[in-house]
Amino acid sequence: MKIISLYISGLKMSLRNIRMTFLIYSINLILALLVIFPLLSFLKAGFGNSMLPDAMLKGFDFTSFTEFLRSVKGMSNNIVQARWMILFYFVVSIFFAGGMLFVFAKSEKFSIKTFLNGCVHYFFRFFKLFFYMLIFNLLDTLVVYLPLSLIINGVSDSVASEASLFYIVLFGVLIHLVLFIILQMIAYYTKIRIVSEDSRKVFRSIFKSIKFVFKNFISTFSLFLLQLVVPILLIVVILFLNNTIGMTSAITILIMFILQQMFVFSRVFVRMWIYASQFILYSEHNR
Amino acid sequence: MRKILRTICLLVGASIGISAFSFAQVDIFPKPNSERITNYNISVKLDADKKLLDGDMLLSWRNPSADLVNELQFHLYLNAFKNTKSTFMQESGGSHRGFELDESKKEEWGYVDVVSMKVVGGEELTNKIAFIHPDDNNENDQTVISVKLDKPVKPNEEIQLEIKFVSKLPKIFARTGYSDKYFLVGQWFPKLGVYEPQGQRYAAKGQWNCHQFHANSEFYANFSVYNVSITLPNQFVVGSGGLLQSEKDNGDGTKTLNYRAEDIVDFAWTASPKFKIAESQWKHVKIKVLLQPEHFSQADRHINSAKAALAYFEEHLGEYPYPYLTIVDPPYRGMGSAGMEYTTFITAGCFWGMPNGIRLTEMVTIHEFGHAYFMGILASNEFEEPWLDEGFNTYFETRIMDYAYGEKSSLVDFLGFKIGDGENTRNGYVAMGNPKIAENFRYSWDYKHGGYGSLSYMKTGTWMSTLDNLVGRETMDEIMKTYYSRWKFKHPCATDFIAVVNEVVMKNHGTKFGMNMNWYFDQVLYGSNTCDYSVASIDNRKVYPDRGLADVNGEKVMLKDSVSKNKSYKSKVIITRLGEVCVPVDVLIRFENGDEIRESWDGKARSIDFSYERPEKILWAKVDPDNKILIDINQMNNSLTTKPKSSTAWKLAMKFLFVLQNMMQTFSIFS
Repeated sequence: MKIISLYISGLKMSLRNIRMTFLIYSINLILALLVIFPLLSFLKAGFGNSMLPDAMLKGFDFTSFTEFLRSVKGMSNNIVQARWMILFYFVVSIFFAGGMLFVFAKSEKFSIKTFLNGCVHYFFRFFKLFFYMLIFNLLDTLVVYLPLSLIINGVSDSVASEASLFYIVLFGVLIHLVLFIILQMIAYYTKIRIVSEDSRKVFRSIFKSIKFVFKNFISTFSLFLLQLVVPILLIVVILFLNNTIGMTSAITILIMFILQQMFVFSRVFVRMWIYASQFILYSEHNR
Repeated sequence: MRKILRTICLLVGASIGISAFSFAQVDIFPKPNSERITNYNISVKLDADKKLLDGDMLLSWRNPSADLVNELQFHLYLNAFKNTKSTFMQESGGSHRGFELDESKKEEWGYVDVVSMKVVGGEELTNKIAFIHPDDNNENDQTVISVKLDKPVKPNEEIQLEIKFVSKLPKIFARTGYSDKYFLVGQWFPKLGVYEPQGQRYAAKGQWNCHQFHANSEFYANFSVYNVSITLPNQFVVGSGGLLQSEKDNGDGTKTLNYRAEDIVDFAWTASPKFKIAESQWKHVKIKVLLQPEHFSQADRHINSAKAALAYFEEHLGEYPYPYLTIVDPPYRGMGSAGMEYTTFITAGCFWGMPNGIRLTEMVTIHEFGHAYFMGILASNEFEEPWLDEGFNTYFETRIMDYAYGEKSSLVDFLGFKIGDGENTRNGYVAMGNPKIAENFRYSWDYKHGGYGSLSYMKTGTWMSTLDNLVGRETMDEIMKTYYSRWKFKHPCATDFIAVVNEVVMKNHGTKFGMNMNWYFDQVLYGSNTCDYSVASIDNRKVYPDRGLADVNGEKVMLKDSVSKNKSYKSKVIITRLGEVCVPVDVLIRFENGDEIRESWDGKARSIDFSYERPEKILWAKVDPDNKILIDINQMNNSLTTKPKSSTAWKLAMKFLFVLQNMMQTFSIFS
């Protein structure tokens, strides 16, 4: 019950700062459009005045798609641009995380100034944290998949069927998922701790967060799981809408574009909501 | 007297030999379908632990030619797995479809030894066995032997041989062998080559046609009767290319199963203690599927696709004559034996949990079953003309798949992605890095720079579909039915098929396509050029009345608007031939008011234009509007419109935008 009320409090806090969601969403959209507009020109030029691509409007058309891919050169440039943009946005997200938490910590209504102050103030600490967490995540991957690959190599000559191998791999993936969630929780609470206490000692904050997460494991873990519900629902809804409406005409393309943007906006909001709920949880435990 | 005694000895010897191998036989067919030049009576014992086969064979062969034959040639295919020096290992690099042999393990290698060979009641031949290497002079290859005979076999005379052999099965990585207690026993016994009499296929004189075991091909054999007696431990479930005649418990933990097969070109069998059996009946054919327990839920996928193939082949080619069909589902560690064909016995392949929308099992089952016709009944030479086997079969596979599961979704219909088998086949050819790398008409081992699979399977499948579209389905079916009825249980070659095409096309279409269809085969079969037609341009020019000055009665006067004030356009479409292959094509031109004009072009010139003067502009033009010319390697340039729609570009861009935004947002959780 306490977790649910925390979750609702997080929602309220996020709603109070909905402008922050708009800001982050807008930047996400603008950066993505920087990749998409050249892609659109590329597609238009690639299609030229051929009528074959019209078949792709109705749905996935293997022949049209493969013919198009063969006839155009340079599609990989767009993919490379997209990769760089994902990387850039990742850095931007590290930058924004400080601002987001700073706004929550100040308990103020969102203002660009407060937000940017937080962004700048915590950027390097959060960047450092990212590198530490990257190492932890790599170690976690090694810890799970190295033994897993050894097990698979060892048993692949004796297991009866591919089903057995699938279950072995699934078991490893589930363990990795649990460890990944724990590491994510540690990363979140470390950031919250750094902002709440304006701590400059990132490594020390990580260990304190580990202690916090495990000391309050039921609360932290159940809150994290609860936070997965809305994104999963959102995915189900957008898949349903995509299948129902489709993108087969100018008007349905427009409708789906709007719905897709609402989905992305919701994802940005949910991320903020996660931070807000965890921030409240952390604050309550450290009152 | 001496001659009589010798004949008596021969007959007694033969009868002793035959009785040693024979068991109560029931004929499958009331009368032979084929010449049955070779007959095999084989008694084999499987040592499941040592992966050894201990075999006794009584072989009879009738000389089908007018020649005195003083040599026999046999395939010893398991020797391909003896060491890395074999031609097969050299060509395949020790891997096949991604599976490999562990070369460090002695037990994983395979071989076949002829322990003894003698003419029944006659000469001992064991010492006369010599390895030969007719294809590549690889002296280390031991997959073909020659046996010289002191006494030549006269025309139409039958010779009987007693052969003892031991076969060690390799660990499965290519086609045959074992994986744990699963055995796929193919190419396991000394098999006689084909003696081609003068005039058979390309034989200028009587000659043995007995190729080495290659990475890409293995089939060319006489139609035979097989009586095979298999002894193995009781717990094994067995399937084979023959019909079970009897089964006996030997009381020593083993059992003996007796099989008979008639009019087939090869005999393979399988055994595993884990097989679960699913059976079904289709008309006269009993379908038996031997499945891995974890795949048993997919039994219907095998059965239904086999039934779809049986029905389609019966309607469009000819009846499947055999009363049984055995389908084997290999375990995942025996997948190197998946997708194989032995006329009445095929291996398919599936994976646990494979979604129904991914129809690989159906595709493989239909494809391998199709080999009962192309290679099995129409027993062409896979070594020398692989396209006649794999390509024709691919063509029918796509027809059946597209008919049974939908043209645009027959291969994949999963999560919104749809791929047709026909589309996939065409793509396999047109997406080649270099589709001109070799011509189709080439020995299977002679694709030295690659392209065997894409050309033998995919290109042939594509040009067969194009031929189908050109001459029409009715004519194409008549071609295939005529080819089948004329050449079933024989050994056809390219010229035999082309002769049928020429005959039927001439009968149905007269000289519409010329005096014959050789021009088509010269390009697609014997040539390596590509086909590419393109709509190069559309030009719409407004027709204006004459303007300026005119001399009228010695005076310069302004021209009056003598032409109707109605708008008029001189429009022109230019079609170009970018490839070297020429085929007749249609061009469809649509005007802005919806009127359409269809033009026909023989496709020979480098370019052609179609001009019109009409009140409407040309809106678009399509070359090959019905998508008949599937060998056209670029369909993007087959159409041109003056009013392109940008909706598709927007749709793809918006989809990409959504994916990109979500990826950006997803990766941000690490930030």
